[in-house]
Amino acid sequence: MKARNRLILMVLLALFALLIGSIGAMAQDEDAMAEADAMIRAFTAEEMPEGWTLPDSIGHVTNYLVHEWYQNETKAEAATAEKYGIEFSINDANLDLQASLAAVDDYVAQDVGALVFTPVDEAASSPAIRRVARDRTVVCEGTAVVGCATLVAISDYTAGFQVGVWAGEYAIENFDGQARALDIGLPALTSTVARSDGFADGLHSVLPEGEIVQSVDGAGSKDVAVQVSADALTANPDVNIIFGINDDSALGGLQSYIAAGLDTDNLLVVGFGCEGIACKDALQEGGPYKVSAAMFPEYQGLLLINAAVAVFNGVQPPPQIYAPSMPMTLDNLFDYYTQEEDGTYTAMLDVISEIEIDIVDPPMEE
Amino acid sequence: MLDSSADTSGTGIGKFLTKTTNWLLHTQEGVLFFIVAAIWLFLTIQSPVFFTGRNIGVLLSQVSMTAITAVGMTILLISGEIDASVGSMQAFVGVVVMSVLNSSSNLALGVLVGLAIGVVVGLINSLISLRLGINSLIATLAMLSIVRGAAFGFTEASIQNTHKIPTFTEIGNGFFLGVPWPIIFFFAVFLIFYFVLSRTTFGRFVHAVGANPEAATLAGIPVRLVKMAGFVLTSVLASFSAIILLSRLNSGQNGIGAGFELEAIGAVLLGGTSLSGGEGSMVGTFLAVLLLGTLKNGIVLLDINSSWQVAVTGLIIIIAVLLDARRRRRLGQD
Repeated sequence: MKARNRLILMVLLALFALLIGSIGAMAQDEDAMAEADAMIRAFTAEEMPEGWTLPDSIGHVTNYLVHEWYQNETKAEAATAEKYGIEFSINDANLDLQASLAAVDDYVAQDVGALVFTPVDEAASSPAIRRVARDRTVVCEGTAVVGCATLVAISDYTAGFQVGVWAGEYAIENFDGQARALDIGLPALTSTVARSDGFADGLHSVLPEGEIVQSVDGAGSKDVAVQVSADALTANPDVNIIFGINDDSALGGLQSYIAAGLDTDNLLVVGFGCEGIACKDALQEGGPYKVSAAMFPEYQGLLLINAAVAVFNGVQPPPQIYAPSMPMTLDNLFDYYTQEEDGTYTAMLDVISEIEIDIVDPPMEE
Repeated sequence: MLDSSADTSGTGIGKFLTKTTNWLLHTQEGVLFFIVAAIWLFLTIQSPVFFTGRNIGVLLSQVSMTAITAVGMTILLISGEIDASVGSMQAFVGVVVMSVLNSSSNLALGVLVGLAIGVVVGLINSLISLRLGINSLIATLAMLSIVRGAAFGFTEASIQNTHKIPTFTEIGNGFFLGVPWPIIFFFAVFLIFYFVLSRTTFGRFVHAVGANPEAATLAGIPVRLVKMAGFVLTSVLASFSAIILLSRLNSGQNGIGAGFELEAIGAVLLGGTSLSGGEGSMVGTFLAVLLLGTLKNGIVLLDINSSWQVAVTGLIIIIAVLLDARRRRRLGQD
């Protein structure tokens, strides 16, 4: 009996030790990842840690380069890579999965030092990325793919939540607490669904009776957004908030609202991205387009190159390196951008890098 | 005298009813009219906002751009050719015209440049198809890519409206006597080319060239010239619809118009124009465009997932091709 008790005690002690060890290891892992995250954000080629080397080349497989977001992001990647003395190239899949995977193979054939990958389809890309990641650095952009060392992206849900809160507070101040929102979404992508969900939850967090009266698929494109929102506004002419999962969608919704002859004094337009001139000019016009979830592609491009260099040197990064986002309005636009004489905008990277990243987790599904 | 008059009138009404019944039951236009009417009735019952002046205005404005291009496409298809490049034209014309407007602040110049692009692209399409003998579907599919590439090459980002010409936004968003301008533009284009196709020598040439080009040549009809006119007309009308779309969007977007060509061609086929040329109907084209627009409008009004709008276009094209195949079998062309 005594021997059995002793045995049970020993097993319990062993389990306890294992538990403590695991917690310790996890805490150590978390510490290491937090350290890696900070290292990636602060990295510069001039102050490179001892023993590190730079990859000769970095290739980025983009999924839709004609979009201004990717153009600005890849410009920032190219500028950062040039500063570090790394050869940088882009291969665009133009939303074609086969072309995307072929581009990955092309980069492997070229023996590129590190790969940045923006998936066309995250699930379908996983086998190829896992294969390539066995002996090569692969960093994901925008959406996570199993196999990537890390993901560099904003938290779409958080950014949506933040502008949802902003919209709710605006409705309390300007619309007597009435919020009837039209959501111009893109249900095909998990990231854009997270934006819409975040917006709805953020709005409801300050205005529980606020309503998303209709969600339509604007395909992320201004012409489709104009068409579907015109129909939706006919059905719901009392909409006073238009949310778009990107700036084209939001601006398309605004265009339909104007074309319908509705009073824009009773409207708030909420965009997402604010990567281009259109959003920033619209904010400056002082019309109903008052806020957009800014994603700062210029800074995300820098983070991508830094992450690729770190992983190339054996750093174990966190699963996601969060890029900053925030509700951008006319009041804070020029805290982060300067406007040039030709009308273009230049990002103030030092200021953007200081934006506090406070992630909001979506509610657990029941 | 009174009796005789009454008889004539009765016969007239009887003839009218018989003719209308025959049209409704035995022509593709009639069947389309019946389908559109049935869907309108269904949507009127299902949605309180469907049959309102505002929604009908929105619906007709939305379909105007496709309908204007489809008018040109009807003439081209009747002549036995096709133009698949009209989708990319929406993007290319848009970015170029917005750029011209921004730099010149001259609306007339911008519109002229847009229409001139249509003339040039139409001429190139006709030269490749008619001079080099390349099938027009292949030639214009290639042109679809070339023009899309040109739009992307012209600008990396969308071109915003910096000219702020007030009449520019009126083109796509304004009203004349309460009717949206795009609807007025469409009906003007429709009436002109309905007349051209049914009442002029050129219209008869178009039908003859499409039905039997060899016989048309022997009859002294300038086949190539007629077809070339069809190509240019289609491109110019596509440019015109691009200018209306540009005004509606208030910015030149290099990525728009994807699938626009399918909508235009699908509507023309569904409207009763034969893929093999020689026959077609402007009224049928209008009814088919209206059907397509009604389905899209209804999907949103009934709060059905609007992603289905894309599937509707594909469905319409399959139905159109099936109807065309059935018609050709009936005529013994297959």
